[in-house]
Amino acid sequence: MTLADTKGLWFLLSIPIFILMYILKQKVKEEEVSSLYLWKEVIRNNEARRPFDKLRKNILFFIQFLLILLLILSIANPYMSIKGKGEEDLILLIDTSGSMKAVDNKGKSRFELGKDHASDIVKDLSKTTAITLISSGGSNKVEISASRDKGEVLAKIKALEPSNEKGDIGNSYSLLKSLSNEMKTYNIVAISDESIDFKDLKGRVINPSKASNNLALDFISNSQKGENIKAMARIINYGEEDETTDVSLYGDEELIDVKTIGVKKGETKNIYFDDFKGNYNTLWAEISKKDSLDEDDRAYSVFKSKTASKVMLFTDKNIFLEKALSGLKDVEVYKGKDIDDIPKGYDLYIFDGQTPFIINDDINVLFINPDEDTEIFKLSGSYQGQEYRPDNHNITKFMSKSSFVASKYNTLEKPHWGESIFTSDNNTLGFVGMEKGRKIGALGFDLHNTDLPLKPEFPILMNNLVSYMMDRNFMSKRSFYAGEKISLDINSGAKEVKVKTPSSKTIDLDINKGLSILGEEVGVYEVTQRVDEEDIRYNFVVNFPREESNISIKGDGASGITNNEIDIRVSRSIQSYVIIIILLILMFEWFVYTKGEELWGYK
Amino acid sequence: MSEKIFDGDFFKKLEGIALHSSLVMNDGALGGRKSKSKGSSVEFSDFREYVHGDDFRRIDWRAYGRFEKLFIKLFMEEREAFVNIFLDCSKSMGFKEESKGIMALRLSAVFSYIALNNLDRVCINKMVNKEIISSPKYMGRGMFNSLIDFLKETEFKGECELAYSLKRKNISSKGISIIITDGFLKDNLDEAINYLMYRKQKILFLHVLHEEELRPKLNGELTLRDSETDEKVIVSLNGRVIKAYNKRLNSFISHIKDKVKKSGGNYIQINSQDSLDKVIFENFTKEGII
Repeated sequence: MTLADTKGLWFLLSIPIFILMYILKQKVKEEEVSSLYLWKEVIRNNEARRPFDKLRKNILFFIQFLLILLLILSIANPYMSIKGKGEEDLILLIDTSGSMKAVDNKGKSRFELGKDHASDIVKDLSKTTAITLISSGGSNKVEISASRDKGEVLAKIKALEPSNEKGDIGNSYSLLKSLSNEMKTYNIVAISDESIDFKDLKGRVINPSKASNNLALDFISNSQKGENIKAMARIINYGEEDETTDVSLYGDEELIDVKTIGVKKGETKNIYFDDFKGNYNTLWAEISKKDSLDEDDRAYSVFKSKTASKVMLFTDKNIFLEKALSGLKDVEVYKGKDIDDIPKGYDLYIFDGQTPFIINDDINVLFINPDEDTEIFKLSGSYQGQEYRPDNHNITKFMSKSSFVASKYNTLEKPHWGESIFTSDNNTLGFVGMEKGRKIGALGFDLHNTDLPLKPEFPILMNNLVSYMMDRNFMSKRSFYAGEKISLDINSGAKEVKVKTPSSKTIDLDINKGLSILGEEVGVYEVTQRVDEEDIRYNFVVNFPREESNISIKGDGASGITNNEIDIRVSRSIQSYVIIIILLILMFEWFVYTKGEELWGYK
Repeated sequence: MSEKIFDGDFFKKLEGIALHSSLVMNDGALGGRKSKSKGSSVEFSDFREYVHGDDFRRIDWRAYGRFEKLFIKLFMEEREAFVNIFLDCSKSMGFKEESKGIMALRLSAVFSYIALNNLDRVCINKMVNKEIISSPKYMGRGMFNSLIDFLKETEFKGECELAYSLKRKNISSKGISIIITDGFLKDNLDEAINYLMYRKQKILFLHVLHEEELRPKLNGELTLRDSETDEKVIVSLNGRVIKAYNKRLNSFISHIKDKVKKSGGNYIQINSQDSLDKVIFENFTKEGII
C-alpha cells in the first residue's frame, strides 16, 4: 500500500494531543451529596465490577484511537496495488502509423481503440507513477516525459491523431532503452498493430487489431505513344477473403475508365487501361469497394506527357554526344550551323566546344567544354590528368560509386544558383541550375578527353542531363509517400511559393527558410511559384505507403499481449473503503457506549 | 433565610391546618383528639375503668366498693401531653439550599402549633454533633412566637448522633416524640428508637429526604463529596450503580419504617420538594396522624 498524499501524515502529531485529552478527561467532576451514607455501600459492592468498567472505558479509548488513525490514513489517500510489484514508472508507446487507421472493430479504428486502451491504463495508475508518452509514426516523438499529472497525459492521448506515415515502431528499441535507463523501475506498454522485439526490456504490446479485409492500390504509371496513352495500376488483396471490385481511372478530375477485377486473398494483380487520349497533369486510380482502410484505395501519379522534345546541337563533331542524344526517347536532335544565329523554338540548345557571343535569356542551354567565359559563368582554371567524381545530385546519383579521369579540363566558377554535378579537388567541373527561369548546364571537359563516354553510365547521364535541361520545372521526384520530407525544386527567381494540399489547404512557403514540406496528406499537391509576374505551376503526388496497407494481424492480436509478460501496476485508491470502515467503527462505538449497559445486564 | 421559612404564606397555611386538624392521641397512641387524660400527679382529676396493664396501685378501692368495678385515679399531670420535637440539625439536612431543613423547621412549627392549640406542652430539641439544644417548654398559643424565634435560629451544620443526643435529654414521662431527620446518622438509629420506647414515648418519625436522594440524577464518572464530612469517593455512575443505590435506599427506608412500626410509632416519609399542604393533608392524614 502506498500513500498518495503523505502530507496527511502530519496529522499524526495530533495523537499525543488526543491521548493527553483523554488523560485530562479522567479528572472527574466533583459533586456534593448530602451524605455518603447510602453511596458507600453501593460503591463497595461496585468495586468488584470496576475492572470491567475500566475495560469498557479502555475499549472506547482504543476505538477512538483507531478512528483517528483511520482518519489520518484516509487523508493520506492510500493506494493498494491490485497486481504488479514495485514502483514501476510507465513508458507508453502509441503507434500513429497509417495502418492504425484501419477500421476493423465495430466502426472504431485501431488507433481509437488503442487510445481507449491507453487511457484506461493511465486512469488505473497510481498518482505516484511517472508516465512517459511516445507517439510513433514516421519517427518516434516523446509527447510527455515522466509526468505524474494523469490529466495532462490523458489530454495528450486524446489529442493524438494517426498519420498516413510509414511506421517505424519496430525500431523504437534504442529510444526505449535510453528512456528506461533513466528510470529506477519501469514498464513499457506499446499500443500497436506491429510486433515489437523488446529484447532485454520489460515490455508488452497491446494489439488493437482485428482480422479485416483490405484491397490496396499501391502503384500507378502511364506511358504515351503519339496521342495514345496507356496506364497501369497495381492492386493487392491484403484481406482474409477473395474480393471483386471496380477500379476507376481518372485523369485530373475526369473519369477515364472503370474495370472490374477479382483479386484472390493475398494476390497482386495489374490492371491495364489502354489507348485513351487526353492532356492531363495527374492520373489516379480508385478502388470502389469499401474496406477497413480507405487511405490506400487510391494511387496517384503525375502524368508523364511525352511529346517529342527538340534539341539544337552546336558541335563540330562529337560522336559520343550525338549517339547519346539519338538514343533518347522522344528527343529530336537538330544540328546548328552558326552559333551567332541561333534559331528559336527549341527546348534545349547544346553548345559543344563553342560559346555564342549572345545567349538569349529564355532558352535552356547546356555548355560542353566551353572555351571561354560566358555572360552566365566564368572559367576558373585549367587542369590536366585529374580524376573527378560525380556529386550527389539527382542527375548523377546513379554514378555515385564511379570516378572518371580527364586528360584536360576546365574548372568552372559555379554561380550562386548552380548545383555542382562533377567536382575534382573541390573544383567544379560541371554544374546545372536555373537562372532567370531557364535551365543552364555546363561541363568543363571535352567528352573526347575523358573516359566518361566509355562508361556504361554515360547514356543515363545524358538522358538525365537532357531531361533536366529541357524541363523548366524539373523536380527530381514527383511521387512521394506520406511522411516523406519533400524538397521542392523552385526557380531561383521565384518571389512567392505556395503549395496547395489535397485537402485544398494552402501553405505559403518562406523562400528564405527552406523550401520543403512534409507530405502528410495523400493525394495531389500543386506548387505555384511567382516568377517574373508569371505563375508557374506543377504537381507532385503523395501516396499511402504500401507497407501500411498490410493490415494483417501481427503478434497475438486475440489477447492483446505479445512479448514479455509483465504486469502493469494497477493501483486503486482505497480511501473510500477506509471511510466506510470509519463509519462502521463509529456506529460500533455508539453501540458500545450506549447499548453496552444493556448488554452487561443493567439499565 | 428564616424570613422565607416562616412567611405570611406559611402562617396562613398554618391557620388552615390547625383549623382542620389536631393531633390525635389515644392513651399514648397517636390518633384522634387527645382527651383529658389523667395522670398521677398530686391533684386528683378523675376516674376511669381499670384496664389490664394499668398501675394497680392507682386502683381506687373506694370506688370499687361503691360500684363493684375497678377504677383507677387519674391526676392532672397527665391531662397535658408533652410533645418533644427532636430536630436533626446536621449539615446533611441543609443540603441543596437547606431544602430538608426548611421542611423540618416548618413541620416542627406545624406540630408545635397544633400541640399548643390543644394545650399541650412542646419542647424543641435541636441535635447537632453530640449536643442537644432544648428550648423552653412552651405552652399555650401565646408562646408560639417564641417557639418560632427559637426555630429561626437553627443552623444546619456538623453531624448528628441521635441516640447519643437523645440520651442526654431528660425524658421523664410519657409523651410524644417527633423525630425529624433524614436518617443519615452517625450512630445507630435503632438505639435511638429503643431509647425512646424505653422512655415510653410515642414516636412519630418524619423521614425527610430530598428529591435528589430519592431519585438521583447523577451520571458518569464523578467524585462524590459528603457534605457533612467532606469525605470523597470516586464512582462511575451508570444505570447499574443507580439501580444498586435505589435498592439500598429502599432497604434503608424499610428498615427505619419497620423499626418505628415495631415500636408502636408512626413513620412518614416526606419529600422535601413537596409542598407543605401536600405533606400535611396527604401524607399525614393518610397515616391518621392528623
